[in-house]
Amino acid sequence: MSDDLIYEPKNTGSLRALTFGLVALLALLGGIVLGALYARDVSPVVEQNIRPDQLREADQQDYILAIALDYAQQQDLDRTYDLLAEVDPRRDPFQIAADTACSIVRAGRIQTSADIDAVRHLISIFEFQPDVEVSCDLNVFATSIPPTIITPTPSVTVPPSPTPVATKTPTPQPIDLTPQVPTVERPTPQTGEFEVLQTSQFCNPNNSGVIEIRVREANTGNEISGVQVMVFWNTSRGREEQVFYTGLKPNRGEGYADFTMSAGLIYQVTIPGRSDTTDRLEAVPCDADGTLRSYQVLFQSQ
Amino acid sequence: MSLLRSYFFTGLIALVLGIGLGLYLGWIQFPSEYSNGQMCQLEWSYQESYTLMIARGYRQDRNLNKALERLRPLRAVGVTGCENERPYRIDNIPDWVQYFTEQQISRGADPQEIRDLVVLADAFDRLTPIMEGFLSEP
Repeated sequence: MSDDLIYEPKNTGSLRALTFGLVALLALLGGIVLGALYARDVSPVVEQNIRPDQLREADQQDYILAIALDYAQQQDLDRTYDLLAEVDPRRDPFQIAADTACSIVRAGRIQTSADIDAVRHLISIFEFQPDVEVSCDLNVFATSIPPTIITPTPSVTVPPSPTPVATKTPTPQPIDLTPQVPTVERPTPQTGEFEVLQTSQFCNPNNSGVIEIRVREANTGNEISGVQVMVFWNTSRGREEQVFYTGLKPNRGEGYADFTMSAGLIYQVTIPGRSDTTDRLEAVPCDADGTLRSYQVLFQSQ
Repeated sequence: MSLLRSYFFTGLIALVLGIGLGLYLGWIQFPSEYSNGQMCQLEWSYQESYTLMIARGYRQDRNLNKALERLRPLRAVGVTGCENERPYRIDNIPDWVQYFTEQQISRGADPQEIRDLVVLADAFDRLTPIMEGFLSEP
């Protein structure tokens, strides 16, 4: 009777084995979790032979723009369709083109006339396709003006190419040029000449060395999109210039465009053939931190 | 005390084994879907296609700086994540265009494709004798 009341562990060995097994199992599971987390999240495999659908967004946009360039030359829609499908096999290739065009515009990646050209080629891929939804305003690209500098016809007498450093005296308005400009099919008025209404300067470390350009209508004050603007400057290689359009950063305004200057150079802005030229805008430091002076230029139709 | 030590070492060995198994699963058996790659990591054939497309763009706009800018993301030398072992590692873009163009000629690729590439190679001043025959349209 008294023997029954005394506790005597009978399976000490198996209990110990069970505990060992439990410890080992828990540690193994913990190790697997740790190893898998490290391998998948902390240091995933870097693949070296990826497909276009595995590219990061910016590189994917570049790839799609290249497809647009290819389409512009080849005019082979089947090939273009297949190339776009490789970028995202789950989506409609034409929708990919449309979404990419909007993403590029929204990201402000359009800086040069070559960029404008590329986006136009991209639009030409999907513009006549049904069921393509465009989530942004691409009308600014729907123009018949070639995205190159407008050159007057030979019959118009204009000075030969402007001298690298323009005089401070505004050049006479080349009024006769207006009829020579290719027709722009745009809802906003394009008939009037423009004047440089205001040029002001400011100093902002977060916006260093930028020329902010706005083009607006005199009567209504509405900003005008799609106006070709030219910035030119001199370097040791001679005169250089860049042409771009207002309205490519819709979040800043329909008539807005900007240009980033390089330190030490002197720039001038004009609406080619339709306005006079601004004074010289110097990219010089405006504070002790080396922030470059920025400018705001306002063009207004006359 | 010796029992506790035994538990500890058992757990440690199991943990190490588990980590090894987890790494195998995460890196080899079930790697995460790669979706943040760079142009220089593209499969070789896609890099060639991309170069050809840019060459065709150059024939349209004749903007050499833009073509160079567009091809620059292909550079693999010195770019983190692009240390791949390939027969040709892209570093100098004009050199790459020349190499690829000559490769296409050697392979007997479509003459129109070769012509597109030769125009760009010529613009980079990389016209070699083997390319000269493709410079003009037939």
